[in-house]
Amino acid sequence: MSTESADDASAAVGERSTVDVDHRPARASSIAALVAAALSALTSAPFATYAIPLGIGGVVILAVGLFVREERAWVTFGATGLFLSVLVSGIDGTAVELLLVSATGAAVAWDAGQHAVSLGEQLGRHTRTWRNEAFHVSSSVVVAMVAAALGYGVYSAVGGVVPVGAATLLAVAVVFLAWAVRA
Amino acid sequence: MNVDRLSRRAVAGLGTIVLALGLVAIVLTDPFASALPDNNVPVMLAGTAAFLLGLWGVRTRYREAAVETVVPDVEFPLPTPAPGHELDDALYRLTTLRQGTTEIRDTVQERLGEVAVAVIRQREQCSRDEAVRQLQEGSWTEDDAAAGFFAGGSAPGQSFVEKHFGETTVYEEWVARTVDAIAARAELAGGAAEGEGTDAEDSGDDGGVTDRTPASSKRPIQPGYRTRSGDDDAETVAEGVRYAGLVTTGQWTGIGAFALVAVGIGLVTFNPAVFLVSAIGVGFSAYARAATDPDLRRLAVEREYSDDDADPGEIVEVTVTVTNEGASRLPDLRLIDRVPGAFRVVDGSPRLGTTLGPGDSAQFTYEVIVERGVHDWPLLAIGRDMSGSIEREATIEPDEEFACFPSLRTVNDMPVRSQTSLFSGQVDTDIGGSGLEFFSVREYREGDPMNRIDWKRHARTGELATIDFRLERAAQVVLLFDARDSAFLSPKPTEHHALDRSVQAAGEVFAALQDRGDLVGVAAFDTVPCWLGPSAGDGHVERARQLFATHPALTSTPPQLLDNEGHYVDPMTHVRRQLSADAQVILFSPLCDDYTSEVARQLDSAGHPVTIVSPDPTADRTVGQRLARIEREMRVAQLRERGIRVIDWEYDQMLGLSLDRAKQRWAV
Repeated sequence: MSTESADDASAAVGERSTVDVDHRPARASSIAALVAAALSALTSAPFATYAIPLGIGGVVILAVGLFVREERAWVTFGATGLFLSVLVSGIDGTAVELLLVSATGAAVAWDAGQHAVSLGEQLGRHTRTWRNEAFHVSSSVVVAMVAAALGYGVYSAVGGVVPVGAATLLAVAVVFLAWAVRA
Repeated sequence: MNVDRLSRRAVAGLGTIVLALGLVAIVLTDPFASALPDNNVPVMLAGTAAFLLGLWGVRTRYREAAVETVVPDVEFPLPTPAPGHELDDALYRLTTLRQGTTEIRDTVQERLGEVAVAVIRQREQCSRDEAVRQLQEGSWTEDDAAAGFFAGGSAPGQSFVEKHFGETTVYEEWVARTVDAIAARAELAGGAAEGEGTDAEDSGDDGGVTDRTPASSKRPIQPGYRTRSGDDDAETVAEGVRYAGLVTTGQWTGIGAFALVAVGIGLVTFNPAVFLVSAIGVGFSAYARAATDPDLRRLAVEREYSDDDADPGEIVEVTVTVTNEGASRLPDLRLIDRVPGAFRVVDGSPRLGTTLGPGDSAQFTYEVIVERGVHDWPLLAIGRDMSGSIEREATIEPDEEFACFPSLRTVNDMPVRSQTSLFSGQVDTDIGGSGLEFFSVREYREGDPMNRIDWKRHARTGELATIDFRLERAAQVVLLFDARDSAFLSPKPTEHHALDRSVQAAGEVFAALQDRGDLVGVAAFDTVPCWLGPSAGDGHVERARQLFATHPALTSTPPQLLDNEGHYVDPMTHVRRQLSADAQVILFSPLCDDYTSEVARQLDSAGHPVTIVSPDPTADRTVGQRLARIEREMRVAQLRERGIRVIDWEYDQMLGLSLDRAKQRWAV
């Protein structure tokens, strides 16, 4: 190899700097989380006065956690705001169907947001991750829809009229089951 | 652990039975539900219990933040510190962490004192005692504050408040001022003005690697967020696959709490809609619990290189293909190619996030600048289950190796000292004999070759005289490397360190000397003995190529990251014993501590002329770095006074330029 070509090679190498390693949350999941959060806020906040700050605040905090501060804690705080918004709007008498959509949105936003942060930490935004993200987010949406459908099925089968004794049994059962499967 | 699982099973069973009873009670209202107490109190109690359990779950989530495997930034080369980092560390410990106040102050004062004395002696050409006297009197500088540093004064501008509350930062400024005064005395370019505030700018292009961050923690760990590294408890599970422990990420911790809170509120307020919302929480809770360990044992990894025979510093495209040969889908797979420490990724990403069904394969491509050595590097695979609540880390070792040998090209001519061997070559000697350049005319001695007799003189005077030409001999040169920890320094964390630079330069020097017919050998002093005797020929060049690339003493990875068991090899015994009497030494060292200068002096005294090629790794961003620069400058000056040639090679220059400058210096 001649000296000239060696110089060319080193000049070329000199121009190429190390790639930008970008540990911000993965883009697709972040956007999915934001969309889900917006959906959750839209289906819960407008129906109760006290839910408005919770819902909108939740979306804003989640967005900050994904696009500004890039931290998992902010994502969780934002999702908590959305959950509270769902509960408050439910107490105020929002329709069951809307509440289920809203809760699904909050859960998916939380999951997708955390997934985005984790992908950002381990792989970074300079890495191709969309297959992974699409699979993860869609399976979460499917799980939420199945859970909502089952719950709604039981709810409409019962027709809203439940004897107090039966309701007590159901409540105790839910407490037991929730305790058993707690993470 | 087991108790926990048993109790969970029992509670789950109980819950299922109660649920079934409840459903039966709804359907068979008449005989069954009427038997149950028609009272709101149990409902309220259950609701409150659920609500409290939910709050407990929130607290758990708050305390146990999510966990995941830490992935190193493989794109960057391993960062190496700049000279003087130990002083900066000491000042940092003193001012920020407030540790070891007196000991650190003593060490700092001692070190600064040594440098100041060396500078004063150098500039004044005076004795050590005189220099110490000047230092104690404070007459060496015009800066009163700096003068007071050694004369037992106090820090400048200390108000009462500062003295009692902000003392240590004032101390740091005092040290900085003293170092600047020493630099001014030493008449060095690049003092404080240039150095101030450049710290922040510089860190920008190094990917956030600043001078004070240790190599292991380049990314700050987020608050409320624990990280782990599973290298310590790895076990081999299949050929070439090692498993680290299973991590529970805790991504879904707290969703059950949401469900319980919803149940509680729903019951207490008699609101079936809110009660129903808990279905989502319970659903995700079960989804997270149903997680299965992703099977990473049957992942097959193949690597392809665009150029199998690249030179160090060239760009090679690496294509990695990963195939899932197992029977189940890997829902969430993160692949990170652990590029060797010296490599730099310049395009693409050595990572991929994907999902792989049985038999599927995924591919990713990136471009790296390769460095010398025979490398085989693992692929880090992190598999999560579908919900993301379990994470498994595996290290997969592919079979393919990547070998990269320097080609030893002649770029510059390397000057050698006049000591030569008995073999003929191209170094001019002061001995007359057969050669090219006229040397002298002397009286004829019997046996002188006929063609060297001065026939013109014979014709003129009748005397026989012999013309001598300058005899040209081959030099015998040993390239000696300082490969100790202290050679792993660079001006910026991600630049090539001084040993890399040395080996790169040595490749050029080796080729240049070989081309001229000199005998060249290679040696290093480090914990691993390294010796290749001076010789010539194609086989020798090939051996040198192999040695530069693969010898453990010359590896580009800092020794503290390797587990080379061995004792320290003293160059005075190991190298000197093998040097033949007429060998000369070209020593490669950044000259950042006194030991190497001592080695150079002793070799020189022992009759081996020493030329030092010294890549200059010093920087001037911090106080410690500026001090290290002065120290090195003084060391170079002392060596030059001692008659040892030093080629001071600036980091951003080609070796040829520094050589030309050095040659001019030697010519006068």
